[in-house]
This record gives sequence, structure tokens and C-alpha cells, in this order.
Amino acid sequence: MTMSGRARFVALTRALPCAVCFSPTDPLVRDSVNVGIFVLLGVTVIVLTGFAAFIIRIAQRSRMHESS
Amino acid sequence: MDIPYSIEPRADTGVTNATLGMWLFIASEVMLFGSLFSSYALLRTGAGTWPDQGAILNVPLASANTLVLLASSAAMIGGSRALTAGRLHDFRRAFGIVLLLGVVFLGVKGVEYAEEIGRGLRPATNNFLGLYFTLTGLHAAHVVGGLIVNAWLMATSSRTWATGPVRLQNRVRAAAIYWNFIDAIWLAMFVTLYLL
Repeated sequence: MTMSGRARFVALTRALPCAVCFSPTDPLVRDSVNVGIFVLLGVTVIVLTGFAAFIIRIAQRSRMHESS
Repeated sequence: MDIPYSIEPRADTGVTNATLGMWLFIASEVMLFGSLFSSYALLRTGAGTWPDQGAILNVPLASANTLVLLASSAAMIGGSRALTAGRLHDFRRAFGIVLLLGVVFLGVKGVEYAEEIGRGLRPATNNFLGLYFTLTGLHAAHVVGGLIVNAWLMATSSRTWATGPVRLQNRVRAAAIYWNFIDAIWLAMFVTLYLL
């Protein structure tokens, strides 16, 4: 690889921050992304809680079934 | 080979495999609709201006449609209970009402779409309308899917009842879970898209 080719490769692979999440100039966009994340997190927590409750229920019923 | 626990409930889960499968499907559906509601929250809170939703959408028509869907859920529960009690005739009548109300819901939704598109309100008009058409369109597709399954259950009910009544009861119970979920999603959508 030539010098200029290497320089271009480095320039292309440089990690750039996401302009939406890391933009310090637009707090409205950042806040709205946070709201979106929290709504989806809330939905995920509800679903995962349902799964956890179901797994606990299976374990309890399985123990009851074995003991009887 | 028969699918295990399709008639009697599994001892550890306490439900049949069909019911368990339906709950897992509902969990994936909650994530699907949840991601769209999350997009709505993101776009609305990030927008400089947001249209007056209640002013551009037909709230009275959507309210009437909400009542139609609630009535269909009530009929679904009634049908499922009638079948559990062994009353096939009452089940078929209740399912007929469910199918009719489901078709009415889709028809009213179609009228609403036509009116909105006639006024130049299209998915590309703004972010709100993009989300509105995506959410309500996805919901309508779920109603169509539910109607197909319900129609099949009703059409084959006499035969299934004769060969395996408990199997039919379990199928109808699973279908009722789905239909009530569709109803619950609509209520969340109605509040979010029309009233907030």
C-alpha cells in the first residue's frame, strides 16, 4: 500500500461519533432520542418481567409436580 | 405423530402448548408495536411543531370504531365461554358477530383512510401521518389475520367439535387471546394517535 493509500485507509476507518446522539448543539434531538429509548426500554422491561414471572411459575409448578 | 400437550395442559406450565405458543407470539408482537410507539415518542418530542392530531383525524368515527372492536372482544369472550360450557350453537352465533364486527371495523377504517387521502393527508405529508398510517395499517393487517383464523375456526367448528371438542375449545381460547390483544393495541393507539 502506498503512503497516500494508507492515509486514505486511515481516514476512512476513523471512528466518528453519531451526529444525532453526540451532538452537543441540539439538546432537543438528544432529549427526544432519550424519550424514545426510555419508551422502548419500558416495553422491553414489561415483556422481560412477563418472561421472568412465567419461568418462576414453571419452576414452582415443576417442584410441586415432582413432590406430588 | 401428534403434537404433545395440544389437548391437555402441561403439568409444569399449566397451559397447553398452543396457549403457550400464543403468549410467546404476543410477546414478540408487543415488541413490534412497542418499537413503533417508541418511534412516535422520539419523533413527537423531537419535533419543533406537531400537528393537532384531533383536528386532522376523524375522532368521532374512530371512537365509534373503538366501540365496534370492544364489542367484538366481548362477543369473542362470550363465544369462548359458550364453547367451554359445551354450547356449540351459541359459540357459532358469537363468532358470527365477531366476524361481522371485525369486517365493520375494517370498513370504517377504510372510509377513514379514503377521507384522509381525499383531503391530501398521505404518509409522506408529515412524520405524524407517516406513523399514523404505519401503526393503523399494521393493526389492520393483524385484524385481517385474526379474521381469517376466526373464519376458519368457525367454518371447521362442527367437524372439530365432533372429533375433538377440547381441541376446539383450546384453539378458540388461543384465538381469543390474540383478538383481545389486538383490541388492547387499538386502545393504546386510539389514545396516542387521536386523543393526545
